[in-house]
Amino acid sequence: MVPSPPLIEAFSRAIWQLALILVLIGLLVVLVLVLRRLLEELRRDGLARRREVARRLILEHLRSPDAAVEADALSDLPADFLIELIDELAQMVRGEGRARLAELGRRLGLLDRLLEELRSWRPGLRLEAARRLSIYRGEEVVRALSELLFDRAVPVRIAAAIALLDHEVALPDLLRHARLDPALSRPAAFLFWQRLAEIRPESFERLFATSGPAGRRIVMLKAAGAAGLGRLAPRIAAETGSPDPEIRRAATIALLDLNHPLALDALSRMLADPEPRLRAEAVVAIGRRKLVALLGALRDRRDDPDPAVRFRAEEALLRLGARAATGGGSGGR
Amino acid sequence: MTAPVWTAFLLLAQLLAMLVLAVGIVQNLLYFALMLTALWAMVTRPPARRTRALWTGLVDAAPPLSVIVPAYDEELTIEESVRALLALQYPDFEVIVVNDGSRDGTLERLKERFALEPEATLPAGPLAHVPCRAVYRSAAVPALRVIDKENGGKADALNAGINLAEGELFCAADADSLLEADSLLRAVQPFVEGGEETIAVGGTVRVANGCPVRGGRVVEVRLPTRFLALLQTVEYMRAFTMARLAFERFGALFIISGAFGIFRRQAVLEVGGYSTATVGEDLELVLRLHRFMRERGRRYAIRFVPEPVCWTQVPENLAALARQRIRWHRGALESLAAHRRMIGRRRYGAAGWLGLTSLALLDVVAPAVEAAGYLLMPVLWALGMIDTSFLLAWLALTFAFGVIVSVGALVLEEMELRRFPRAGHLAILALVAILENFGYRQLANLWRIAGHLAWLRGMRGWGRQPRRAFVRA
Repeated sequence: MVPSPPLIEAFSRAIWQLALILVLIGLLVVLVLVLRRLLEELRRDGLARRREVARRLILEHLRSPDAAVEADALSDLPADFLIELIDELAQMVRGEGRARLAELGRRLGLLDRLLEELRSWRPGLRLEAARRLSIYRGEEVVRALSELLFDRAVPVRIAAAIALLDHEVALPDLLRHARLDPALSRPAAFLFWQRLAEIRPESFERLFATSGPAGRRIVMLKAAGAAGLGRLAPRIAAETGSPDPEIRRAATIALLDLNHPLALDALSRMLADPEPRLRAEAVVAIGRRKLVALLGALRDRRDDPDPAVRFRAEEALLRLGARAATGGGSGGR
Repeated sequence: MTAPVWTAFLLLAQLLAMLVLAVGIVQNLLYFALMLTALWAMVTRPPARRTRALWTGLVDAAPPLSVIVPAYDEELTIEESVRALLALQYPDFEVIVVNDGSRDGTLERLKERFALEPEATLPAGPLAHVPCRAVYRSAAVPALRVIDKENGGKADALNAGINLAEGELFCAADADSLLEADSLLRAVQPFVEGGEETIAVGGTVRVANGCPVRGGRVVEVRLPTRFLALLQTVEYMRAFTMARLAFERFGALFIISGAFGIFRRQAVLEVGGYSTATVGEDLELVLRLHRFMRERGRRYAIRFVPEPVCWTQVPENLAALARQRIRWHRGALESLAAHRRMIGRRRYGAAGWLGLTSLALLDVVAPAVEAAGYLLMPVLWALGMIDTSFLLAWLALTFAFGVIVSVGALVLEEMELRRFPRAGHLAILALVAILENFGYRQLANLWRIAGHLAWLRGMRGWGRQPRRAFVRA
C-alpha cells in the first residue's frame, strides 16, 4: 500500500512547491490590492475636490449657453470619471441640456471612448456604454448601436434598443427589429416599451395592433399602463378576455393604472376568473384602491371556494369600511 | 492484538488516510472552482448602477413588496429597526412586524411609537401558524402593520406575515439586522428582468460589529475590534461574495439567508410556506422551492445579487458562536435529511447534482473526515506509516488553498462591493484569512461535528440567543 520512499519524496516536493506558489500568488495579489487602495486613498480627496469643480463648471455651462466650458479645464480628469459625471447629469436634464452635455462629451473624447467600450468582451461594459450613448447623436452612434441589436447578451440588446429610440432616423428599422427580436418580449424590455409609448405613441399602437408572443403582449400592456396611454384603453380592455391568465391580469392592471372607467368592468370579470390567484389579486386591488363601486361583488368573494381569496376579501372589506374593526386577530391554526 | 487483527487495523487506517486525502483534494478543488466561477460571474455581469438611475428604471416596474420582520424580545431596538425599514427606498411597499409572543415590551413600544390601531378578525390565511392575538395598523404610517401572536418560532411568524402580506413579493428580514437604504431596489432587479420565472433573490449579509449605526443605518464601515468577529467577517465575505455567486451562476443556489431574502409570495404559498420543523428554515425553503419546481417541470430562477447589503451582529464570544454554529449545522442536516432524495439526482438539475451534493460533501462528509484525519494522521505518523515530509507538505497545501480562496474572496469584494473603505482594512482581512487556518478552521469543524451529534440526539429548537445593541454613531 505504501509507495516507495523516492516516489513519496518527489511527490512531497511537488506538493510543497505547489503550496508555495499558491501562497506567493495569494500574497502578491493582496499586495497589489492594498497598494492600489493606498494610491486611491492618496488621490481620493484631490479627486473629490476636482469632481466638484468639474460638476460646477458643467452645471454652469448647462445653465447658461454663453458660459463655455474649457475642455482643457477637464481634460486632465480620468475619462471614466467624466463619463460617469456626464451620465449622472444627463439623467437630470432634458432637451437642450442633454445636447450640450453630448457636445461636451464629444470634445473631451468621451464619445470615442464609449464607442470603443461597445466592443469590450465584458457584456457589462457594453451594456453601460450603450445606455450612456443615448445622449449622443450622429451616424456613427446609430451604426454602432444598431450593430449592438444583434449582441449575444440580451440585456445589451435591450439597452441598445432603448438608446436607439431617441434617434429618429433609426426608428423604422428599430421597430422592424422590435417585432422580431425575442429579447423585446422579455419582462426586462419593459423600459423599452414604456419609452416607446411615451415618445412615439403612434408607433407603439401600431406594434400593439400586430399579434405577437404572449411575453411581448404582457410587457407592452404593463408599459401602456405605466406610460398613461389612455387612448389604447379599448384595445387593452379587449385583452381582458384573453385565454392566457397572465395577459388577462396584465390588461386589467394596465386599465387600473390608466384610471380608465373600463377598469371596473375588467376588475369585475377578474373577480370571477377561474384562476384563484387572479381573483385574490382583484380583491386586493379593490381594497387598496378603495373601489366602492365593486363592494357588492367583493362581498360575494367572502364565499369564494379559495381560502386566500376569502381572506383577502375580508381584508378589502375592512379597508373599504364595510366591516367594523373588532380588535381581534387574524386567524391561525 | 493478534497479527491478522493488527494487519486489518493497519489496512483500515491506511484506507481511511487515503479517504481523508481524497476528500481534502475534492473539497479544495471545489472551493477553487467556486472561486474561479465567481470571478468569471463578476467580470461578465453589468456594473452596479447608482441608486438614482436604478430608481428611474424601476419606479414603474417594481412590483409591490411586503417586508416581513419577525420580532421576539426586541424592545430595545424595534423602534429604530422599524423606522429604518419604513425609510427604505422602494416605490410601493409595506412593513409587517410579527411580534412572536415577546416576553418584553416589544408590542407596547410599537403601539406607543406608531399609534397602532386594531384591525378586525380575519379568517385563517392559506398558511398554518399558531393563533394570532391581534392585527394592528399604524394610524401614523399606514404602510405599517403589526401582527401580535403567540410564540411559534421564526418560521411560524414568517408564515403569519406571508398570510397577511399584500405584496406580490415579500422580503424576509431580521429585526436585529440593518438593510442598506437601496437594498430592496437592488434585490428586486432580477424579479423585474426575469418576470414570473424569478421566484427568489438573496442579497449579501455583512458583519456590523464595530460599525457605527445611526437611525438604523450603518454610517461608516469599520472592522470589528474583536478577533472572533474579524474571523467571521472573512467567513461571511467568502460565503456571500464567492460561494453564493458561483452557485447562482450554475442555477444551484440552495440557500438564501434568513436575514435578508426576497421571495415571490405565490411561489412560497404553493410550497406551503416556511417549515416549522427545522431551525434551518431559510435553507429548507429554498430546497423545497427547487424540488417543487423541478418535480413539476416548471421554469424558474433563484438568484443572488451581491450589491444589496444587510448588516448583522455576529457573536463575539466562543460560547455564543458555538451555539449559533451548532444550530446552523443542525438546520443544514435537518434540511438535507428532508430533501436527501435530491442529492446527486439529475432530475433536480444543478440544485441537486451540484448544490446539494456540495452541501452534503462540505457540511456532512468533510467535517467528519477531516476530524478523522486529525486523529488518524498523528497515529499513522507515529507508527511510521506516513512520511513526515509528505504529511507536512500536505498540510501546507491545504493551508495554501485556504489562503488562495480567502484572497479570491477579497478580490471579489474589491471588484464589486468595495464596502471596506481603507487599504488597512484589506491588509487586516488578508492577515486574518491566513490566521484563520490555524485553530479557527479546526474549531469550526468541531462545532459541525457537535451539530451532527445534536442532530443525531434529536435536539430541537433555537436555544438561547442573547441580543446585542449596535454601536451608536
